[in-house]
Amino acid sequence: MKWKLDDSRPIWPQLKEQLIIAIVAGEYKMGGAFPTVRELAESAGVNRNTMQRALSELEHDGFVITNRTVGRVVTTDEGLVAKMKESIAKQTIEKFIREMEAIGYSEDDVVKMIKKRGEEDK
Amino acid sequence: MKTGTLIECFDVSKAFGSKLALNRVNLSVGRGKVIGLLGPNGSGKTTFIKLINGLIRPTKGEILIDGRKPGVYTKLIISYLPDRPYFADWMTVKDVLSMFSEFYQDFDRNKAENMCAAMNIQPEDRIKTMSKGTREKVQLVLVMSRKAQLYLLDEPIAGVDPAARDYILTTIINNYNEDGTVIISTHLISDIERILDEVIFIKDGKMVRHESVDEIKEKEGKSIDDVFKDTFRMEPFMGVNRNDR
Amino acid sequence: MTGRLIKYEIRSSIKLMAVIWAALIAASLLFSVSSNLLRRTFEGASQGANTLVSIVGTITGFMYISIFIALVAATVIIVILRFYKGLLGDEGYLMHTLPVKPWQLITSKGLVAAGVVLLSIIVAMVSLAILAGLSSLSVIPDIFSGIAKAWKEDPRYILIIVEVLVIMVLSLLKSIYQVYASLAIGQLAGKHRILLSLAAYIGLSTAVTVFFIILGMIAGSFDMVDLLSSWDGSAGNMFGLSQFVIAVMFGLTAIQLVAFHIITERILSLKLNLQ
Repeated sequence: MKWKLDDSRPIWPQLKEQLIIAIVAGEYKMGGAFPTVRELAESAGVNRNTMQRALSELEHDGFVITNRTVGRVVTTDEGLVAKMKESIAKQTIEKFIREMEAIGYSEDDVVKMIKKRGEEDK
Repeated sequence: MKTGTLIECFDVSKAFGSKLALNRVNLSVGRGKVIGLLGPNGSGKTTFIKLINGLIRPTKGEILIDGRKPGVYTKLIISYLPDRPYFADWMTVKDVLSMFSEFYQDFDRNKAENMCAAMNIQPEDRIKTMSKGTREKVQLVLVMSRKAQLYLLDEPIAGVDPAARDYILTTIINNYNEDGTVIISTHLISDIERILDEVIFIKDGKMVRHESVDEIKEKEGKSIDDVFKDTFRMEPFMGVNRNDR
Repeated sequence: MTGRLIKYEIRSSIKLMAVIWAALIAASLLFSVSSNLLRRTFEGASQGANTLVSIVGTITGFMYISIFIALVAATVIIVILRFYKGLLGDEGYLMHTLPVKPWQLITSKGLVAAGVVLLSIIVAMVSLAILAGLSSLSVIPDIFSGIAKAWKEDPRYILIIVEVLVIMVLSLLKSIYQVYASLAIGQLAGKHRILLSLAAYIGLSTAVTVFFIILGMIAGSFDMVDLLSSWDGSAGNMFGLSQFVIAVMFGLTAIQLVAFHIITERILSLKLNLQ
């Protein structure tokens, strides 16, 4: 997967966020195998301690489960993933609206613009 | 897995003649960490590394590695990459591999051979005929093929191109013994800050900061590179102000 | 571990030396052939052929002498350089971080250096024997028959020969260690390392001389000379005298050897100054 890391913030929360997005987006299939710490650390160019911390957090939040026989797998809890998906969507919309407000559009204006864009596309 | 502090320095000073290269350093370093030893050129990084690996002795103070003073035992558990080529020029890759496997029980010869093969380096290649970059990579491969308690890497990425730099950093983070600690000295912070757990800032022979990277970023909201630049900022000479005349 | 160090030390000295040893033997063979065989073959031949033979003889002779000088120089240089480059230069970063003690590094270098010098001496003697021609080979049975004769006459002669050989090797090692101690002192200097090494060598030699003079004065005050001259000349006593002299020489050489080793070891342990 592609990583986008910002050096002015601690690295592990960013790893966690991006892994969650990958799970929500279905990049890692529910119930499917999850890459090892080593593989993930290598692809992100971080050390294994840092990646381990992100994974521990993911495990703590229930997104991945360490199974004694098959290793680490993605959760099968659809409700958890759906809830997270919704929460990410909400956050993205919030952020978008705040940016639009910053340049002088009201929320109504924004809704209208989005509708109009949808009609033009048809 | 061993526990306890890996490196302890008690009031360590090192003088060369009248010049104080390290000034009353107190330091405690744990296990299983990747640590950046960061400071400008001439700040005492190499002196510190040489003291830890026993190449030189402190003028004052005491150093303990895994509870022992630098000596044969500590040399067994430290894997050291100096900032210069250190193989005799008559040697071939095979010779240096044999040498490492004879002197270090923790050396994984297979691993080193595979890594050399991956770089297209033949066992019969002579160190003397290699390019500077290849020679540095061979040294790194040897050093990282040991399952050491402590890796001391002195300026591993100084003066290399970006591709070689990526190779070096990847080799380091993929191969170190996770129970051991890696200390990387450098003045090129932005290139390595993502792989660090902790940083030690060294300035004019003094350890001015030793903190976890996450703590620094949370506290200051800046990259280590920026924090480093703030810490070591030098005031450039701006010319004489007209009003002062 | 010392054994492993010696193995690597041999490998790093042997390549260059083997070439020179082989070259010297080859040159001595060539010179020998041109000066003996060719001359004999062309005896009574034309003036031109004779001139040619003498030119070839001169060239091969010159070659032999050059290589002989090269051998002497290479032996001295390798003794110095293997220590200087190997322990005080960049290679020192590897050698001094191996899990071995400094005395093991010094001993491995010293023993191999002594071996190189001994081999150079043997090769030089062999080359001289070749020059002297086949007739000189008769020296070897002569030596053995001499030894056998001495053994028959008094086995203790053999003991003396062995003792003298041991002292020669010991004093060779001592000379090498003096060079090491000088180089170790020299590296203490930041810049003028070679100059300080030279000064240290002269200084150490002077110190040894002064030590001997003082020892001589002490011996004199104990009437040692009188004691020695009172020894009567009978065979048994002559043997006793020889053993006494050998013991003294052995002791004096060993003291220097140990002193130079300690100086070197202490400096490398405490004051290593790799550039």
